[in-house]
Amino acid sequence: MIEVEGLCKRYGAVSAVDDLSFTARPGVVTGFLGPNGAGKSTTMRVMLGLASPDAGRALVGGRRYAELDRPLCQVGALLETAAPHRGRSGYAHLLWLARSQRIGARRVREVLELVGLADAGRRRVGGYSQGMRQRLGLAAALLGDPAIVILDEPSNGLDPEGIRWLRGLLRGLASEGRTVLVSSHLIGEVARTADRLVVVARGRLVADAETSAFTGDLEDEFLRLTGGVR
Amino acid sequence: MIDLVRAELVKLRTVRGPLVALALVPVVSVGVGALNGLSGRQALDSHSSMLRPDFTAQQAGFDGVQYGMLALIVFGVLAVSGDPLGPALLAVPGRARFHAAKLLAVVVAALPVVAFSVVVSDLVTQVALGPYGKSLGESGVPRALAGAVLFLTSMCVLAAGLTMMAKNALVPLAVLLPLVTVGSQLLTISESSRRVARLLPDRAGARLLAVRPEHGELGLALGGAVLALWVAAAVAGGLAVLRRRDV
Repeated sequence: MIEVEGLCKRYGAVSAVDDLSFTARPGVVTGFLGPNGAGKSTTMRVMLGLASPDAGRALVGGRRYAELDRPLCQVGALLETAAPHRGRSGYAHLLWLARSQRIGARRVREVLELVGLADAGRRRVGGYSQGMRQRLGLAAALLGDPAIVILDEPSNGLDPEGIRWLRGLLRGLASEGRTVLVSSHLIGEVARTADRLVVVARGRLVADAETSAFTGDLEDEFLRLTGGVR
Repeated sequence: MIDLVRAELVKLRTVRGPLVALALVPVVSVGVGALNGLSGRQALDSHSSMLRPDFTAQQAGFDGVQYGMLALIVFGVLAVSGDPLGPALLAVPGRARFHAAKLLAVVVAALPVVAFSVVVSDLVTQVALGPYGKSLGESGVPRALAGAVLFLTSMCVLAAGLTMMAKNALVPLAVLLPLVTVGSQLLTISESSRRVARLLPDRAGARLLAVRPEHGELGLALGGAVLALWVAAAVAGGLAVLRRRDV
């Protein structure tokens, strides 16, 4: 369970997140939608303790992220600001993460296998394609077998095959009873995967409903909600 | 905390920058130590006036590591600047814990390398001095050897703390490297600046590796205390910046 309550975050005069509240429940994929700059990444960074809120709070599994012991075993995250060092191998990146959480090296090989990087693990991340980097990020998110998964634009850089694979992965995680929150600026992709959609624009909540409740053309609906022009 | 230190050690050994910098510490220390011993021997053989008037074989054994210290400072800087904060703080959200684990790992990695460099550099210098070389057991030398290990390791932690404060590698390198090479020496020209220079971390810390007390410098204990204050300030400053930082 992820609970966001009255969250506010400003950068100088700009309000990145403005009194945002929503909940992501276990067992379902929650899509977190909005145009670029709507405050999705900022909200996720606050959830994960990387940025501090000016007001309100974000709880993961009922607690603030900073209070978690071995956090990667409870919450897995893919975020652009948490990208690995480019000079380190994918295996070494996962290995230090594993060490910090008291996870064995066997699990590192397991998740590399799971995301299809078993062969590329020893190579430096700087030489990876964007899709491979995204897969490594997913491996890091799944390393601790977490009950909550928070993914910021996970389909970025994936090829059509990778996107289909990701869709299956997310559905599988939710069906195992995990809480899955996935952000995107691409409505079509998220609508195919998510059970519920949380839509934000300019830092504010504009819609929060079952995916099936969005009737008619989703793109038109999205643009109307987020104030874009048709 | 042990798991966190181990994780930090994995980080330190799996990227090139810090590893190369740390490997250069014994190379430079021992290399300069050998050259220093050889040139000292030549000067003594030829009764050259080029030899500094306060030359002693015992003290000359500590010249090499002061050059190795430059590489060690680079190691301390890269250990912090070369570690992306995003994944680090996802794994260890407690910022004080992360900072402590990082600095502990820097010490754990640096300490054996520094101890080796200090002892071997002195040994090589004495061997290169030939007949003028002295034993490492001479009065004051073992204490100075231990002091040198403490001094160098402290400078490394100081560099790491300053880097966390500055949020980049450039500023700490641009401040520390000139300071320890020329800065505090230049400040000894006038009497008043000399008094200030004694309080700079490298001058104060260098008291720890002095075999005999020198006139006009801080004493051993005071020098060590001043160095410890600098290190504590850099560590606390680094944590203060880290605590307020959004990633």
